[in-house]
Amino acid sequence: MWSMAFRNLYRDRRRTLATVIAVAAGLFAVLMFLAYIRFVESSLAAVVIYRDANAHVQVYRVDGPEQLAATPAQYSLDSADQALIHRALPELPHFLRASNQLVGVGVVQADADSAVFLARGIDPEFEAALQQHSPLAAPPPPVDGLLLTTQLQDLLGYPAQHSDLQLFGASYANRMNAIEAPLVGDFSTGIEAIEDKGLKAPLALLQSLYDTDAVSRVVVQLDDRMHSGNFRAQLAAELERQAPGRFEVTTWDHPQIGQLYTSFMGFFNMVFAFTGIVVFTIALTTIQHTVAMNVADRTREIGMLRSLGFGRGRIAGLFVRESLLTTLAAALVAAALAYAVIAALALAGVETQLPRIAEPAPLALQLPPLWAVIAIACAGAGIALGALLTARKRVGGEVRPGRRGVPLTQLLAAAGCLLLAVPLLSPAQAQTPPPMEEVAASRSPDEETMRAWLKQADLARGGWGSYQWKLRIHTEDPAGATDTDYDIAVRDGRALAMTTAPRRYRGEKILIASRAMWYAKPGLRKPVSISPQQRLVGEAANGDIAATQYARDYAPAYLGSADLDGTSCHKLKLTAASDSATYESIIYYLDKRNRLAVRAEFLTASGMPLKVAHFEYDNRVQIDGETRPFVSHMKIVNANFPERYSLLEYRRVAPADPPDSLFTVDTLMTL
Amino acid sequence: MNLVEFESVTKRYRLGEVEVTALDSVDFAVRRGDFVAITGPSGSGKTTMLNLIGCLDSPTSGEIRVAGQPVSGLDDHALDQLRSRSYGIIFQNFNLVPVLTALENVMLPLYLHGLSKDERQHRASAALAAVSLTRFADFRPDQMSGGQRQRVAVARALVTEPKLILADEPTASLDTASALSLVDLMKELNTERRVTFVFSTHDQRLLQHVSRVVELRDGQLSGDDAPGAGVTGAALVQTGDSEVA
Repeated sequence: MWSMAFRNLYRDRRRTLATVIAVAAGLFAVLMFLAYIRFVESSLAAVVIYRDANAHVQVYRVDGPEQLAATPAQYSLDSADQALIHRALPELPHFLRASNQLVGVGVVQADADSAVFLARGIDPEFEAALQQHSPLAAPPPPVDGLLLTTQLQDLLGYPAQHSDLQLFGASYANRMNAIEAPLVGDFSTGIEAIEDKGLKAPLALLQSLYDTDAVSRVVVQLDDRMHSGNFRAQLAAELERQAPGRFEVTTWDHPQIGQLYTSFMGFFNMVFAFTGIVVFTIALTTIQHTVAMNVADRTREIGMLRSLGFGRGRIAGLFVRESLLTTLAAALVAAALAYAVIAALALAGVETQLPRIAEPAPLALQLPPLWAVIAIACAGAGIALGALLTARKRVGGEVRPGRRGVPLTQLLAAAGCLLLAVPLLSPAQAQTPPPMEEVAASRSPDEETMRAWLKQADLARGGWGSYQWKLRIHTEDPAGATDTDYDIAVRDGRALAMTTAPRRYRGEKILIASRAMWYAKPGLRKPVSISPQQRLVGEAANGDIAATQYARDYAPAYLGSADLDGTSCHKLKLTAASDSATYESIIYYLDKRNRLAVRAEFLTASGMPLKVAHFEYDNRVQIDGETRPFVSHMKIVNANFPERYSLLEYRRVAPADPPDSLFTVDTLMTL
Repeated sequence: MNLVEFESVTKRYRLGEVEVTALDSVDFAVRRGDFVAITGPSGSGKTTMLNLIGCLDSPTSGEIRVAGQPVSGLDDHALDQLRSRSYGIIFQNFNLVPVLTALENVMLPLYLHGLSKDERQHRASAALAAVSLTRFADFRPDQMSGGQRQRVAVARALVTEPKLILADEPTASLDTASALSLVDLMKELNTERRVTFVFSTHDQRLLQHVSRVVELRDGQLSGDDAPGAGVTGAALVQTGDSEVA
């Protein structure tokens, strides 16, 4: 029967040729797309594993992948963790090498320009070894300085090579800290979204910025990425045995690690599936039409075969064989063409832009023969099935009022209607009433009155006038509790905070003047300018440490009255009126009796609560012979993590006359 | 025992809105060794009758029995088996597979008999020899004359050694010489091998050689000169044939 099927292909050579060309074109498209998917897959994997230095397997604290960015200290690996992990690794098969890594954020500053960075602290020796296996070119890792992406250098005004840059960030104890290090080169993160923030530094340098010996994770290089899954399982089991519930082991394609890979491969696979279905449908339809025409042309022959005793299935099998032979011929043509095009592209040195990858990459398409065979086999199986159904139906010769298939156009139309109907059927969005805060009280005070209230409140917090006091901040955090003491001096809205304890932080200074903020500490060559966003560092923002002038920095709006624990309050919404304001907006509650702030809700730009502060006024100061209340305690609670809070204790508050020279950035380093 | 029996067989077709009665309550039987011609004008039901005898179609009513067994209860597979084992069929237009050689065409029915390729070739060659076409074994149908193709068709019908060969207008596409040659061949097979033939024809050259003529008119049996059939078709035969009793 195969011989007969083969010879039947020569009956109408033009039809057979047209069918082969149509199916070959479809299969060629599938094979080329498959090769492109493979190329993208391996390129994205190389970016994730090598260029982004995630290696093959990563070890975190439990929930580390999700929580590290928000609370790095709590989810980092301490020295004991690191030692345990490094002891366990060499015992497992396929292990090559491992290294500690630290990731963090902050601000990098070069002269007057500053920009946010996303840093990775790496072991240069490990990374050099890792990069040797990478198909992508990468600069040598930094040994004694910083690598910045070109885009980040652009934001900093292209600082000179080997010039010192200042890195500023929050330590693991949630304190402000800064270091200096030379710029020694550039690199690419390989990820467009973070290319303007990329910074790479030696691990020890970054650890000094975050004032920790902890690391974010341990990364493990294997001899082949195909072992990642098994290695992960074995390592996880071993670590669970030694320290139950403490570690989480991931592979490079974990959604949190290889987000670029997983998101794009998901997308590409979907596109491939769609394209494959379209191409397959076209090829199948072509084959079905060919089979139908062949059957129509050979009705007498089919009748003869039936009269000889050939069953419908056997005769249909003949047509299926013909379809398979046609598909095989088309597959050979498509495969030959695909490999020829791939070779030609390689010879031509064509480059392409990969999704979200900053640099163009050589278009090195790969089509493993096994993949090609599987793709062709799948197509062949589908086509054979389609041909069989068509042939069986046609060969039967009966006109049966069977179930009619739903035409594709009807299916598409139905799907379209469904999609269109979903928004219509979903409940209409109710007119959401504006929040109560937005409804102004019927008798709102004017802005001048509200500013006067704010100034009164500021006065009681040292915002206006000249004072000095001692401040102790007790911070509670799941990573641990800390106490820091400051000497504070304020003069007409300018403030200087000098750290006095613990001893290791003594000499650190924060200056607020002319609506700007600087940070200085021994060892820095010059003060670091702190952006408004950086003032939010710590549960008690740096902007909260010193005095505040809400009457100057915010525009008030009246939201009505509110009762707080029996205290009748004015409720105001303060909106930042200048770039120097620490918060985007604040819901502020003022005691109606004395205009003292009772509570403040600090909001993000999107209106979500960030922190909530409560004030107490047990201090008293004499001003112009009048005894006035002054803030004694301020408790600032993280709105999202209530277990994280800071308690600010104001002691020995007294009017003072600090000199103007105390509040200039020029003298900050000499104080 | 009769090879094939019709009992009040009726066959109706629907052509659009019109129902056509192709056969109307026909009683008919074919005995082993018969050489039967079914004749009648166009549209009289000849081909329908052959199709029903060959189990290529099923009656609207009535019963058909093959070797005493009713065929109405047989499924597709059983009918395929029945045709494969018991029938040989010859068509007016030969219906050879154009891409196969004469030998391969003759081998085709044996494909269903589970024989080895060598055995199939041996039997097909013998069948071709029986129709005097040995030297044309490797010829494709388009390389042969009409008479030769029909002989190949006869060989293909014979190769399975069926009990009954059905032929639909077997000489219609042949010139006189070829037609006479084919008639001689069929007659020889009938007499020497006791192969039963039932064929439809208008061809007087063929009717002169048959032992039994069945006439159909408007779907009804109007003549059958078989012993005991009750109606005679002998009048249709201009020259009687007394060689076959």
